[in-house]
Formats: sequence, C-alpha cells, structure tokens
Amino acid sequence: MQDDEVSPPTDVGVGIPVDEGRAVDAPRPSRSPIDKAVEEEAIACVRRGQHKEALTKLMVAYSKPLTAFALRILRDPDLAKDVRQQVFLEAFHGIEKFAGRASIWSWLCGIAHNRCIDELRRMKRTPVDFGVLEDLLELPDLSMDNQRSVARRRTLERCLAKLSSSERMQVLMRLLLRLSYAEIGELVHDSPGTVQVRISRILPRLRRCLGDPGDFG
Amino acid sequence: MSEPTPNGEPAPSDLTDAPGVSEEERAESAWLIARDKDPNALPPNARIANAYAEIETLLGSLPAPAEDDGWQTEVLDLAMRQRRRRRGIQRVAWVAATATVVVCILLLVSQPRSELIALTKEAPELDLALRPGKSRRAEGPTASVGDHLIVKALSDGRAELRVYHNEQTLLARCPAGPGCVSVTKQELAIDVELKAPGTYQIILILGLDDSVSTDQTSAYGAYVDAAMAAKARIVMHSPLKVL
Repeated sequence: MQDDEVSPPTDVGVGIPVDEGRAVDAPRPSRSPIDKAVEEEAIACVRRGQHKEALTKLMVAYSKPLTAFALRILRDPDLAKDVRQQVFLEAFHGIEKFAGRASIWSWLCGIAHNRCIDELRRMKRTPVDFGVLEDLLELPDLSMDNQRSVARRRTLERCLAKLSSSERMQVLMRLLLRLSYAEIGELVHDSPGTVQVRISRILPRLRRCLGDPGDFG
Repeated sequence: MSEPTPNGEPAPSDLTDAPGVSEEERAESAWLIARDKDPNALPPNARIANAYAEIETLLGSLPAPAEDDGWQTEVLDLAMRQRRRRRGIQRVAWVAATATVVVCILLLVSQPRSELIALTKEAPELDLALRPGKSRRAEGPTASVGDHLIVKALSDGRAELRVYHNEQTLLARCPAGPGCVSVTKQELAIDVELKAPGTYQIILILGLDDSVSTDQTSAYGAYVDAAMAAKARIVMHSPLKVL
C-alpha cells in the first residue's frame, strides 16, 4: 500500500536511456485544456483594468480540470475546492505581473501543484475510502453511459489511489492537465527526460491495475 | 537511486528493483516514450495500444466534484476584499514610511551640529570658532544667539584672554574666570554662549604684569588702556556681531 504522504518520484529505471532532447521536444498530449482565445481575452481584460472579468473567464474555462487534479491528489473534495479557490485568488493578484512567459494555463497548473504540495505536507492523512470519493464526483448519467464505463472509471480511481502522491501528480499533470515534460520537470525539479521515463514506468502499472485489479502490486 | 522525500524520510521502493519488472514492461515503457515523438510508433501489441487509448480517454476526462452554486462569486468577493486590504496596508505602510522620513529630518534639523565653524584667522595667536546652538543652524561663520564662541589663544605664560559684550560686560576670562575651559603653559581656551545680540570683543594680552588691571569688572576700554600703558602685547580679533 503506497502511503499518501508526499513521496519522491520513483527511479527512472535501468535500460531506458533518458533522452532529454526527445523529451523537451515532445509535444503536449492532444486535446489540451488550453483555451488560447480565453487567455487572450483575459489578458486584454487585465490591460483594461477589468480584473474581475478576467478572473471569471479563467474560472469558467479552467476550474474543472484543476479541481479534478486537486481532488485526485488530496482525495478530499473540500480540500480540492480550497485549492481551487487559492489558485484563482493567486491568479487574480498575480496576473498583472504575469509576463506571458508561458500560457496562463501552465501558470495555473503550477499554482495548483504547489498548493497541493502544501496541503499534503500540512496534513497527516490516511487513505480515503474510494467509494466516498466517487460518490462526490460528477459521474455521467447512467442512462447515457453503460455499466462497464462506470465500472472502468471506478477502477481507475482505485488504481490512481494506489500510486504515491508524487506518481499520481506527475501522471495527472501529463494526461489530465496535458502539460509538457518540460513544464512538469520545472515543477518537480527534474529534467524533462527523467520525467518522461518516470511516467513511462508508472503507466504500465496503471494499465495492469486497470486491466485486472487483483494483479496490481 | 531514488531521492529522499522532502521531509527526509526513506523513499518508497524503487520500481526497477521490484520483482516483476520484465522485459515486456520495459518494452512497453520504451514504446510510450517512442510515441511521444512518433505517434505512429508500433505498440508491443494491439491489446496494449487499446488499453492506453482507454487510459488516456479516462484520465483526460476525470470528473470534478459537483460545483457549489456561487463559488465563483465567493472567489471574486474574496479577491476584491484581499485587494482592498492589501492596498490599505500599502497605504498605511507608505504613510508610516513618509512620517518616519519627516520625523528623521526634523530630528536632524533640531540636533545641534557637532562640528565647529571656524572663523577667519586674523592673528596667529588666536583661533576662533562657533559651535551652533540648538535652536538654529548657523549659516557659515555668521554668529547667532545661542551659538557658543570657542576661543583658543597661544600663551607665553603671562597671558590673559577675555571676551566682552558690547564693550561693557566681561563675559569670559582666562585664566581664572568665567568661561575658561583650558589653561596650559602654551594655550588658553574659552567657551562662552552668545546669549544676546550685540557685539562681542575678543582680546588677548601677552606679557601681562601687575600693572595691568586684573579687575574682572573693568570695561573693555579701560582694560585696553591699561594694557597699552603697560606696553603689554595686545592681540585683538575683529568684533563679532551677533544679530
């Protein structure tokens, strides 16, 4: 059983060379949540002094994936909502200084990551019952989805919970938040190549778990 | 080697050393890395390819908790309150900093300058200086009420140094008189406050003998006459005007 404390990333492993160039060049996963139009409108609002309007646009566009991320890391809906609030408050106060060096989305993800780390360090927690977590989620209407899909989602939540906080964080930053390896590396203080190899070692465990829950080690 | 946890605890067991890490898993990992650059990279098998397609779909659409009504309004209200508070704090800090600077300036202005203002040396035997009073800063060598007049005079062992006010009042006398602060065989020194406007006379008599009046009440004119009659050496400074 993996503990839920903040734990280090697993070693990248023997036999898989780390290719920094390949990792840096690797594009973001497809279907990125980044909404360039919203970000440009938000920056335009800030320049006009309309900070509330800018924040509203960002909250509408980005709150769901960020909250979903925080929920899987902290495994507590109230804490996830607290992190959501902190992310957008920091965005409100900091957006004037935001130099546009990266997308606003990447910036918000970085804030969410750091606030989750703060929460993990502050609390000593025991793992949350997976059932409780799922009951509080917006699961699709059963009339529109089939039983297997719902079962797969539940299994995935259980498999994610079996990863360490750090592993879960990096997998979700890649596949939920759609950050690049370079962006993830900056947040976890590791090279893009190391992050890439590390995630490539975590995903097979997740796949095996998802395929057959009894097999997961 | 796994890195230690941020709080220094031992790291969880390393995957590479765990039992069950097979060549198949390594091949799977290698394919995951390869397809980052080439989406058409061949997977180990179709089952694995389908599994990852599902994983990415599921992970990419993880649901969030049900949203509570009005949370965005709460965030906006809190943000505005924080901004007003921060601006209030900044304003208070600015006012406090400005007040501190003003107080420092006032303190500096009200403090007497410790340095002496040397007056023009008119005779080698006499050195005159002003020490500005607390109430005002002296502007250059101009004396003001409240300033102190410091006079140092070379002595021949039989010398007397005096300061008069308006040629009438003996303010300071050295040696053995008011305002005398130092007596050596070579030097006499007077320190006297200029308490009133008027003209101050500074006179040094060298080669003093008993024929020169040592009476402390004698006026300036009578004192000079006595010194001249005794053929003593007289060294004078231009009268110091105090407005």
